[in-house]
Amino acid sequence: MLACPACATPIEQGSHVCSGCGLFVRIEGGRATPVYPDVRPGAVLASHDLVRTRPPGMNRGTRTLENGVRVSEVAEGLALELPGGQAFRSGISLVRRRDVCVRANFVASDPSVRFSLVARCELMGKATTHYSLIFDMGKLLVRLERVIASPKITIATPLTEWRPAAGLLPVGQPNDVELRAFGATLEGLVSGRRVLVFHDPVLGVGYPGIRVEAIGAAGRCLWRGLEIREVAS
Amino acid sequence: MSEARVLECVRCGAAVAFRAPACLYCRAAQTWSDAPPILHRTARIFGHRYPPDPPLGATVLKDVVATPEGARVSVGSKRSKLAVSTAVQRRNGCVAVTGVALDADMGFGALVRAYAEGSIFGAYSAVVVPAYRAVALSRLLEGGEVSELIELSGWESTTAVRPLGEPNTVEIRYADSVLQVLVNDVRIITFVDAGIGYGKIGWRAVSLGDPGSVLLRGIEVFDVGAR
Repeated sequence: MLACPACATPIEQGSHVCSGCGLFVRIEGGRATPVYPDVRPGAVLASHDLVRTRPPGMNRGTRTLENGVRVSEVAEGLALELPGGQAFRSGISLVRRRDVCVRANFVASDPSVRFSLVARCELMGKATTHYSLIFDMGKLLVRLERVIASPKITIATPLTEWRPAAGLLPVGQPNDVELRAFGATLEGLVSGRRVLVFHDPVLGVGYPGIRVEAIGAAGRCLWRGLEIREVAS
Repeated sequence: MSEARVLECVRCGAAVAFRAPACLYCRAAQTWSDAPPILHRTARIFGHRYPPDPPLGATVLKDVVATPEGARVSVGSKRSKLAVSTAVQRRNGCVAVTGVALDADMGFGALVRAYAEGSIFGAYSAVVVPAYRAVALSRLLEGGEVSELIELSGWESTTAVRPLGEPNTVEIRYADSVLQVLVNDVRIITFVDAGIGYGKIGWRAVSLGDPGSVLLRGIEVFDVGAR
């Protein structure tokens, strides 16, 4: 009997769906390979050109956060100056949903910057769980993680290895990145081109956002835009 | 497919989310009634009886002891203990845990869709506290320095829960975001929550006050269908 390529549950004869994790598979040549749905963005739920507007709850003006991250308004968007090892987070908790496309535009100024798109961020008391699609701007790599974060501990489980992100432009150039979450399918795109797709049915719902982190050395990043869309049915 | 299934596309059989307007794969429109489907057990896929089977968790938890009456689980004041089976991971299913609370502040029940990130567990949990004839469904994140619990249903007090010292069977039936809790075959809670979509199964024992014990008599896992 063939095993599901995602969870190793035996796939019943004549079935194309794993009874364990729900993955749709194609069976050919004695092998089961995943079939991912075509995920297309639908209607816009929220859109912020950070030159003009802010996600709800975000203060205007220049300020320094408790962790030392400096946020300032500039003509091109929101300039973030991050001390080494520190992160800036922003999310739209009003858009709590399962299926969503989150897209952001940014310019990293230093190779220490990691820019992440977040989906299904769910509050559990003081802790959160979420998916994170991380772009390493020093090495131009991408990785998907499932994360539990609490004030005392953060545990990130890599769902994929670091892999080259085709189309990701180097430091100093603008990038347009997107994470589409549709059922158990998570898809990463750079400039509209798919760079990663993965089946993970564990986290089901939450709100979208971004996270910018400086790894090791301090880093600067210009965050220019955020767009949240439905998934087209 | 040998058994009735739930929340699958009628055209292509792919998994569909509850109330999704269309199938992810073939785009066939899906129709739904206003109420969540009523889930029922179908094929049995896993089962332990205590005794004679070795209790789930006994190899890693020192306070779980096999006795002739069942697996005795001792829990400290306002603490909880849980164990999961690595043999069964499911998106949809039904888990039934049978046991007896031996002390007034003790409760026990079923865990479904348990997943681990390092030392932290996330899961759904349905627990009965027989002294108060009460049952609740919650979503939890527990382990290491994290202990968070969201009560999904609040406590429901019902005579379907047998009193202290008598056996109760707590059952969670789950398919996509539809969660149903039954106690002794009586459906008590129906809740729609999409927080966790997949994971392992297991049991949980809790103390709401003083330390105490429960006797677990068994755990069974079934597939689910819908009416």
